[in-house]
Amino acid sequence: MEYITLKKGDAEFESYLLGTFSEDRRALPVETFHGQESGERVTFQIVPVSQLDVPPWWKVYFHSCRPELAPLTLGPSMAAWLNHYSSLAQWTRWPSWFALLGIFFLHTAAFLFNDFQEHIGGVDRVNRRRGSQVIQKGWVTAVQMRRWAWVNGGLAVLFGIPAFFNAPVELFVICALAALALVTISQSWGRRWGLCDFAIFMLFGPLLTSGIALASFSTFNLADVLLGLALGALTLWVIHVRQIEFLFRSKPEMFRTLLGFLSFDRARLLVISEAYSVVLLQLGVAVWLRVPMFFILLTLAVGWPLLLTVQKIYRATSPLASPLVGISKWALGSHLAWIVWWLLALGSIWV
Amino acid sequence: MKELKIFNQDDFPKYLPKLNSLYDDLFSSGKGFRSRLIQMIGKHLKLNDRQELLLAQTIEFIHNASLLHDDLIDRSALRRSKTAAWLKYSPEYAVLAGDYLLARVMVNLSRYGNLRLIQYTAEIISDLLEGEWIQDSLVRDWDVKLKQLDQVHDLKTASLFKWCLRAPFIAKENYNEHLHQTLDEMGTLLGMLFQRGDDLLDFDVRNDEGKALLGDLKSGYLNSFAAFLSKDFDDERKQRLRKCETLDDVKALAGEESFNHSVQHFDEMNAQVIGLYEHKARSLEEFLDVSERGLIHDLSGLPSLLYFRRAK
Repeated sequence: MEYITLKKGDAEFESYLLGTFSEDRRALPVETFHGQESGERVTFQIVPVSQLDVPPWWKVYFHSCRPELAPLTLGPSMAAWLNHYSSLAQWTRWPSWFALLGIFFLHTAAFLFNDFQEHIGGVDRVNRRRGSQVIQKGWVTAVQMRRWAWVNGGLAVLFGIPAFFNAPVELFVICALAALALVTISQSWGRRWGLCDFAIFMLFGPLLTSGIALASFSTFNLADVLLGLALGALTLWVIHVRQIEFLFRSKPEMFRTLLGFLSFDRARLLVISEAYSVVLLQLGVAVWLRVPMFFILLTLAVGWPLLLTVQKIYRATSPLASPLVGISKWALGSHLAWIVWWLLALGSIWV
Repeated sequence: MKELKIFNQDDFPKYLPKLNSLYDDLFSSGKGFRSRLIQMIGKHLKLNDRQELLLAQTIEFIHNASLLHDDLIDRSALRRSKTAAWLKYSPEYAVLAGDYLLARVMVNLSRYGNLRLIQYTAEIISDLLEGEWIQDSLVRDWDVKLKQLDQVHDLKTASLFKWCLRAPFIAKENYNEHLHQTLDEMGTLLGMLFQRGDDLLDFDVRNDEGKALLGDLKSGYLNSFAAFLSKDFDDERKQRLRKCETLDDVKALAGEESFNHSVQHFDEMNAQVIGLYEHKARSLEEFLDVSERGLIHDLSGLPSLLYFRRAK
């Protein structure tokens, strides 16, 4: 078995990380120490491509696009669409469909870029349960992944531009706020005080629902914002559950999050309280939107995966305890259940 | 390799006879593997006698302090085939004797005066205790995975191996950052291999020293091999595993053939870790003087000794 250890300053370091060092061999990162520091060292296992069991490219692409996370972006977008049942006539207009396609490709581009960035930055190399791991398995090189991300980003822009002209001024403001949120997320200073978390909430919540409404129908209303609040809070909770699952591995500065700064017990309390607040918020917004009583009663069924997630967090006696293993899948399942609930409930008002 | 006297009654207060007697029991058995490792590295780095004794004592004191505390936490009745200190004396004495050893470590190192060594040793003791603490939370956790255990073992077991590899260089005032990173990484792998090899003894695999079987399982702790063996068990089989009293029960539950396959796969997986360790050992060459390079050969033989329990 062939290994090579390279330091950040080594001339070949980047070519091994990007996968450009050879046409017929791949460098699989086995160990990363001191990630995101000047003293970063990575040990690669060198494997001929012919020895790797690589699935067809479309399977790798599909896997890299993180379909399991699609409801986080497409769910609120669809909900915002259904909220504008009075604009039925406008559904036939191409820009409104382009808005949804734009969001879809924005989602794929974001996760493809994320896979590339976090491979280069080391996050996905250190924690093997993060990202799609297709680069780390040698299925594609980092350079190929970046190329896919650019293509998807280009498609997002292509579909987004016609939709943007539906409400250019308002969407400019929304895009500026989204850019501000992204800058906040990327800065470490925002983490301790929850600014990153607030930015995530805005990005996956009110900014997304209002933006989709404007891009699709040239208008937005209070209901879009309220839906955004409910769904943004739900997404933030899912992200917090994910953070608590990886809290023990979050010791290095590179993984610092709000939950990492709180102690385990306080982080656990926060996530549990958040779960109950999220349910109350969904119900509050549903009542305000006059969702039929049948759907309100259905919340017991929809809330089941959420309650199970809460129970697992409650049972965890340490950040390394088994109830926390794989818990983010439960949170994602819970999110999906709520999204389906919202889409059916909003659809029922429309009918 | 010359015999080092790790415990010397003259170093401890004579007005505490029970403490001395407890230490006598503790230090009179045990293989002293860690202090031998120090000696082996010290030989290549040409440490003087004082440095060698200080480092050997430090690592054995820390290790034995952790054993005193460990036995009490786990309520283990035996240590090295003798009655554990907390049972023979009292739990209070066992705690105090462990604490006293750690205090002596700091006294001895402070006298020597290398601040980096003091700081590094204190960090290692913190890691060790963090590992103990986290490990306790995994007792009666029957769903624990190998990855989780590796993280605990990195703190609890590997920390002392890292110290053994790095401390002699620190004592020689060689602070090359990349050298220490490589040694640290090697320590992580050595600790993992040692622990996994040790966990196999519980299932009578290469158990030449005749260690008691299923000790971990009976204390409610799924060790690394048990976690590997049961990774595909459903809840019902996991329930049955925790109730196993003998190795035959375990083999009957897993299936004799499946049990042997698991041992084989476990060995193959760890052979890869050994390959990685050897790669790192070879990369030490650029940091060592020509006269020190014999160390690479000696270090390369350690993983087989620790995991397969036999010289390469």
